[in-house]
Amino acid sequence: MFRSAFSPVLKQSARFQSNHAAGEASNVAKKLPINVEAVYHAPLRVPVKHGDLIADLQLRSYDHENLDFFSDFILRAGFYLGMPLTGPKPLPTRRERWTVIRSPFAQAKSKENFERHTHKRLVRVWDTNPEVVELWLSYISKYSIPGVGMKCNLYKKEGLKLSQGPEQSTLLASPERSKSLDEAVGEKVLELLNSEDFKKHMQ
Amino acid sequence: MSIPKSRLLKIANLSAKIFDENFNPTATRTGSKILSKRLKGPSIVGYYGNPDFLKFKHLKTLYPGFSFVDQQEEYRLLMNEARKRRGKGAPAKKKEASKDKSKTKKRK
Amino acid sequence: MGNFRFPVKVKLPSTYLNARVIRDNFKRQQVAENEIATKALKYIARNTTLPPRTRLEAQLKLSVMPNYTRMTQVKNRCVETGHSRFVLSDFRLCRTQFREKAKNGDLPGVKKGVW
Repeated sequence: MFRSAFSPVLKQSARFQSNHAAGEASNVAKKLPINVEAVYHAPLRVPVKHGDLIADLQLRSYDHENLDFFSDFILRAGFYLGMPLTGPKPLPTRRERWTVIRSPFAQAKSKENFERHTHKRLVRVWDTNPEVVELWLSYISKYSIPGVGMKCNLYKKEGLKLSQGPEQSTLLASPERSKSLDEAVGEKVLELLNSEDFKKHMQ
Repeated sequence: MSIPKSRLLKIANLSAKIFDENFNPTATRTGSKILSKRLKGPSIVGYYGNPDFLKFKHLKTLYPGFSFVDQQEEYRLLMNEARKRRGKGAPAKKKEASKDKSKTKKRK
Repeated sequence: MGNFRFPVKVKLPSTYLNARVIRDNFKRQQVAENEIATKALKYIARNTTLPPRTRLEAQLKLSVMPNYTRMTQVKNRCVETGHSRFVLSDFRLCRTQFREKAKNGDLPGVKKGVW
């Protein structure tokens, strides 16, 4: 859909006609560098070797043209970073519908329908160094196009040590976890129960 | 062969400890239902948007040296003028209030 | 309704203003502020493992709290007009405003529905 319909050869001949004399057009067309020529074909891929899921990237948009174009760009960027990617896998489209009365007052029999489709694509990253993934993500977000949202889940594996409690695990120890609103409720409960009004009932 | 209930309870207790869950075999009401619900406050507060959002009328006080033009307001005033010239403006307010005193209802 | 007082000062919203919008905004701020306290009291009151006197005390404290700290007092209103009925929560707009904006193309992705 997004890929240009002309083949590279056709494009080149068009350029020749505009720039050079007609006699030269029969000359052998200059060969494009291979990575430029690859733009006219489906994105190249690095094969998945170990099947270790590192991250999945979900793309969302209200129109599929931008979405397909951008997912193509993402695959190409990933290929040149040497990342095995799969996708873009189309996920079920979300359809939201609203029925609204046409008139501001009365005449409720005449209504109007509106809808919004959210298209989704999933790109999965396999067997890659997390640093490379970070690089790829920053590159993608730098060249992101308006109207396409991205959400990335990063997966990290950790060795199983039975002596290690869940508190010591590096996965759970994040700063925002320690100071959540839920814990504020717990603190408040304790504070209330230790206050004068409640303590006299606790005996 | 059936497993005794006490043993099953022990297992449940252990698994609750491991996975950091509540162990409540008698299903007593501990109010955890209330604690487990998410707090709605943060999402409720921002419903009407940022209160510090700048509006046109604030521009003049912030940048007194500049002159700003509110196009919509200009257009409204223009149309108002045009309407007045055609004699379609708002009716003039009555000045002689004392004369109409008898007409107004008296409240007791 | 008519004699609603604002015991605490809060900032006015930047959207369409209206007595009812201001009141609702006030309630929203207050509910959010008191949410932790309400939840803690509610937890104590509903916890059957605590002594009944404590629970009763908590329940009394809950019932003494002013009405504007209750979640049920908050009502979604149209951001553009302040209308309270048929407000589409996805857009915070009432039906007429939603229709107008959707037709102007101000709401991204919303089209006339054909299915």
